[in-house]
Amino acid sequence: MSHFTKNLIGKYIPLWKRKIPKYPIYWKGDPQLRVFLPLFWMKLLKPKNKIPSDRVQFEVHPQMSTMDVKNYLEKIYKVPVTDVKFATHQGEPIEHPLRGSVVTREDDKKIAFVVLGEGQTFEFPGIFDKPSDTGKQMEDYKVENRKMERANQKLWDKLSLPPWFR
Amino acid sequence: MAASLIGRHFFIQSRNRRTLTLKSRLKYSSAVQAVSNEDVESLYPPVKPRFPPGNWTSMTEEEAWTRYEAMQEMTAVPTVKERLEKLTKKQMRAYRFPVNNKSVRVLEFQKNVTKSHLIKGLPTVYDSLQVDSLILEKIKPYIIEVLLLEKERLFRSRFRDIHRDSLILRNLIQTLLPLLYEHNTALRTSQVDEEVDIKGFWDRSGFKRVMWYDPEMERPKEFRIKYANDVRFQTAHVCDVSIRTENPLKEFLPIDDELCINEEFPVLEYHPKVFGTSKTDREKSQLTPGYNLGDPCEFGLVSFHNTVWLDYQRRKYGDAVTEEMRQGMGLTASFTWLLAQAYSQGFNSLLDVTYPMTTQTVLSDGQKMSFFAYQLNTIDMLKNNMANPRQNICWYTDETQLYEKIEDGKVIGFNDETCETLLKFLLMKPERRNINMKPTLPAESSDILSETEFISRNPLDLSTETN
Repeated sequence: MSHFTKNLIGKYIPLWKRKIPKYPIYWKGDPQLRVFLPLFWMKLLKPKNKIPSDRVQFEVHPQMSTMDVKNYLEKIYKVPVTDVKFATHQGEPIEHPLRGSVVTREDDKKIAFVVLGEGQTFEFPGIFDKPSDTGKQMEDYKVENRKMERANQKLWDKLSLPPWFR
Repeated sequence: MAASLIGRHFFIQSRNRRTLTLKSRLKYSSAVQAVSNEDVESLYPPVKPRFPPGNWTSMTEEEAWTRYEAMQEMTAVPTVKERLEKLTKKQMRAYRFPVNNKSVRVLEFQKNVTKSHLIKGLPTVYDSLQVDSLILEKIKPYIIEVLLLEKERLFRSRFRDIHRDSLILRNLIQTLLPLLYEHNTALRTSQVDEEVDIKGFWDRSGFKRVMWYDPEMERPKEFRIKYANDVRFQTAHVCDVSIRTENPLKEFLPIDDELCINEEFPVLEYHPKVFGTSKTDREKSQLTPGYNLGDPCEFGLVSFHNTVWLDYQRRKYGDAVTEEMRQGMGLTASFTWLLAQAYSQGFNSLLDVTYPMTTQTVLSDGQKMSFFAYQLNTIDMLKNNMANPRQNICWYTDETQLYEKIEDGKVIGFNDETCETLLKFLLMKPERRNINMKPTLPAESSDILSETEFISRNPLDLSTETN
């Protein structure tokens, strides 16, 4: 990889999608390694199936291991964890707009199934359960647009005139 | 093919609707007269009742009739082998239900799927049994010698391994059994096997499964897919030692007891894949009780399992989680063996057991020992709690140590109580029940092995013809 392409990748790949740099090798007797602000991230997911209250699902950085997930939750958020398991979901195909053939795929997702410690429970907050207002706004807009079209059809011969003169 | 057929079906339905409307118009005309002739015999065949005979709560008519017909077909099959062939003919995907389940907090799921109830402490039969101190004193030095041999003297004792732990159990029982023949006559005719395959499968209702799906069907979108309300589970396990006898064990509780009947058995809301279960490939289901069909010894007395895998889990998760795993292991191990035994008696998930079956299991490490007793009351998991209120029962004990440690060729802190319970398990006397053990099969039915005699009763003719 040349110097030129390295800079390009830095431009176009966002920080949270980038590969994690290697840790420095630890030799015995050296001071303990500490990583502040690593590139790891975790995203809470709403589970498709109904799951028990002591289980949580996350989408995580694909380079994270089980110990990373455990440390992330226990050290930063103080949430005890008993078990972590992973599954990878294949990315959805991206089709060519004209030909319809599959050109590429979206990035694969790494999903972590976490079992919390004893006595810990979690419920996914109902943020997305409420009906949003955008649907209503769209319907109102459609109705008004329809009215305008009807009026234009009636006054088809006076469209060139300004509306106050029709 | 299927699409065209179903399209025609829809067409007929719509046409019928039209005719119905026409009839309704005629109903109100003056030409129709009410005629009451009750004495005349109807030419039509009698009307099919809505539900077949039996208790079919929580089932639709279609489900109940299909199940009833399947039951009648199954009763017509004369032998066990043909019944198993019929059940396993269809290749299908089943959920794996391992005995050593390594996923966390699945005990309630295991209890629900096997429909069993856990009770701490052994049943009351064991309290009345008392082992003589003479037997214990006689046997103790033999056990100590085996432990010293396996844990200290031999080269393999240095390594922690599955084979080593199973070899301890095998060696222990090989030495114990000949000493106990005089106290328990049933052991004389028993059969002892090592590294036995135990496999079983059963159907469980309450979980959704896709029956078929055809996206190119000429139907509204909702009717292109059909769901079924039953899921098949498959277990596979290798038991270290199994002891089988000619007669079955006594039942721990009568089948009409309060504990055996529970109409409020908990219904699990979650799908099995939530608990980390994997699916098998599309293949035939497997079932082996650890012996060939027609064997003289068909009923299990005790089975022994090693618990090496539990130590790895203890290192990983701690004591509280492994305690649940241990209970789940004892529960599933004893359930699968009894299930396979029940299948070999002619029962299956369509034809429920008519009498309770019982076994005992021992999970041990050489040092730690835990005891389980299981009573199988139902296999029919397809029916609702209201229709089939029976439940299985599993008794279990805490993990106790046989000794504290081994030092300089001496076993220190030998625990007599655990040794007594082990002897109680081996000295349990099976009895012949005065009932038909194979009520679903015809009396003349015979499996393969019962006909054959490997050692012929006629003496061999060794005389050589000489000229």
